[in-house]
Amino acid sequence: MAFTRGGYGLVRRLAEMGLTPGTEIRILRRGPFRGPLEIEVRGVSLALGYGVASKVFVKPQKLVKDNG
Amino acid sequence: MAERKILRIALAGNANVGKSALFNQLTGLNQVVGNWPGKTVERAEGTLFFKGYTIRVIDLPGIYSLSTFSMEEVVSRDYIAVEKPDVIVNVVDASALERNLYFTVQLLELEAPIVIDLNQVDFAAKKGIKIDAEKLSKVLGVPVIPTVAITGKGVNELLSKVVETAEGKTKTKPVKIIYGKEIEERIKKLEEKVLEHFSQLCQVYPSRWIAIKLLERDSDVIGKIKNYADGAEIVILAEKLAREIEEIHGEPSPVIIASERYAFASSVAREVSCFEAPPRITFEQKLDAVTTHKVFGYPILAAVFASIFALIFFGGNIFSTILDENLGILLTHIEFWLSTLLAQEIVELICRGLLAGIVAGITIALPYIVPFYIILALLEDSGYLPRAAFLMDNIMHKIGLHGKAFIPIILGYGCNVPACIGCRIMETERERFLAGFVVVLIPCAATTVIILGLVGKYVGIHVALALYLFDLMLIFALGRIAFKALPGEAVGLIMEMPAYKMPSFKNVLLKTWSRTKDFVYKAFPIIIAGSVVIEGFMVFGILNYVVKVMSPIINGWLGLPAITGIPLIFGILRKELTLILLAELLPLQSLTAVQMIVYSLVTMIYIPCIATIAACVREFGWRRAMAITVIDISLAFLLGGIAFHILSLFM
Repeated sequence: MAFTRGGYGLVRRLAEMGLTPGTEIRILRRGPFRGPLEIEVRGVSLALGYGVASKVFVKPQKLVKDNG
Repeated sequence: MAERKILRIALAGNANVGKSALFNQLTGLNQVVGNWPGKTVERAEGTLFFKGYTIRVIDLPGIYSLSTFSMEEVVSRDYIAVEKPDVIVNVVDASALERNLYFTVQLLELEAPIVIDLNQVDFAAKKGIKIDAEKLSKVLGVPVIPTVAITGKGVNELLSKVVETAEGKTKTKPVKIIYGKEIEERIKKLEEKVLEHFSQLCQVYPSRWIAIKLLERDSDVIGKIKNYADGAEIVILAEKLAREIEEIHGEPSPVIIASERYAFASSVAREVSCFEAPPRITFEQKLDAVTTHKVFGYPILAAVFASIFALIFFGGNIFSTILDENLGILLTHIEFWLSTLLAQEIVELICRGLLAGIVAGITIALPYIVPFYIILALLEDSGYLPRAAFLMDNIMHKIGLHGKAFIPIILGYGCNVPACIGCRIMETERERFLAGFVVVLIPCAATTVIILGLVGKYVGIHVALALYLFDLMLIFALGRIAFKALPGEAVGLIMEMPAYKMPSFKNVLLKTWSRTKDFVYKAFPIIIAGSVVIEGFMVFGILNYVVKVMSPIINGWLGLPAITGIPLIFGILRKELTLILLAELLPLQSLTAVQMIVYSLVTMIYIPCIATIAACVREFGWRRAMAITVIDISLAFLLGGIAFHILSLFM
């Protein structure tokens, strides 16, 4: 993960949940339509709503086979 | 008996780490659940006896970190700092060590005497993770005991360690977390000022901790500081220092501090864990994949809830009938026996008021509520609820909420009171109110009893289901209107997804027991009092007058027998009463199908029961609680009347 942008509260909350700049994350699955995203961060699964997930900016590291 | 020494310990940890399992394991049935004084945060306390000690255990609310995002967090850290329990047991999930150590870091910063319970080691092993507890203990400088709380493994060792630590027999040397140089410099500068100006506050909270929290712009700590004479000045200084840090790093200062804590947690976690085997794909993971699948997830969700309702309805019906028959016979015997001793009016008051109230509570409410509580506990402990929330996120957004709101909604089917309280999981006040507004419209178990016991039994189960469907559509429509009408922006979903777990039998039973006990204590007095009062009205002939006044609405507009106004009034006390009293006033079979449907529809919507109103007042304030109540009453009578006029054309 590269960084997060958005309201002060949101960015702070994501950081508390482990989404700090430079953290590695993995997308586990995507919800239907514009549904939530399930990611793995620091060994924990986290569901992020579509709106929240769109505020998390990532730098893809390598192509991983993704079933979502 | 020799006088026992008292120890006070507190359990602290993230959510979903098995904290309540440990609490149940420690205290069993010796627990009291209530609220923190003046706060709407649940507080659970229990007692146990161990090695000559009376140990008071307090279960601090499950939290993610010790920064002020929610009341839970403030409650927990204030308890730790102010009450200074002898030992704090930090429950840590071994399968997500890094994430959990973030919390541990914050406890260490609070300079609290901690013992780490490295929990769920079995589950970690399943994921291929092995943690060296001794090494972890050495690195952190505090005792670490591996356990599997759900089965009780390691709990005795944990307790021994807690006692040893409290007695000062265990040498602890908690590690100090050092931040980057530019942050440390500013912490020192601030800490000096804090020590100088607020020596009193520093006796409660560590000065270094206050300094760090100020740099993080913790609103609770800032509030506390501002109460002091030089407070504002220090806050301004802290703000200046925080800005400097932000300029160096280009991120908000709390994010930088969180990053550094995580960096520490991460390095510790890496040092002490080893990945033994590549994680196998477990049954739980397969289950997870299917139940959150974008196609298969929904039929499963529907099937789960459909079978739950079926189980509650059919199971409840069987118990209800058996109990009703036996207690009914008993009641006639008692009435016969009493009538040989006392005057007729008193016998009626006792038997048809007092005793009938108790019988009604036992036969109508409990058979449905107990199975619901059991299933709810199973759902909670298995980890299915967050999956349901995940699936429903999209739909909840349509009414301005996110997936998490689905959890209080499900709770609402059991009882609206815990559902209102459950709205606390929403992040902002606006979300909480919106969720609350929706939740009180959910037919609770008591309302379900009425719908199924009246419409389901006499008109047909498909009609009862249609009523449910109508209610769901209504909730959706109203939620959407409220969402559009309330100013503010929708908040997105951020939710941890705990892994699936086999629920423990003991935990489920304990939860069901404490909830049922709570229900009996709170509901039975009201049911009995209501029953006595109404019987009194009947005996002394006041009833007829009330019926007359209400007759234009009840009879004219809703097309119901005028006398049904009485149970509708008492339904405010508890919704079950609308059916219980209706049955006492007239034979249920005498109502027409349309009347039954209209009656159930009105009861479903018209007013949250008194307990729910009370919960709403506590959670959302008087004005909003009253707004909800008035809207619901007007809506119920409006829709009830329309339903009567339309249905009369067909049926």
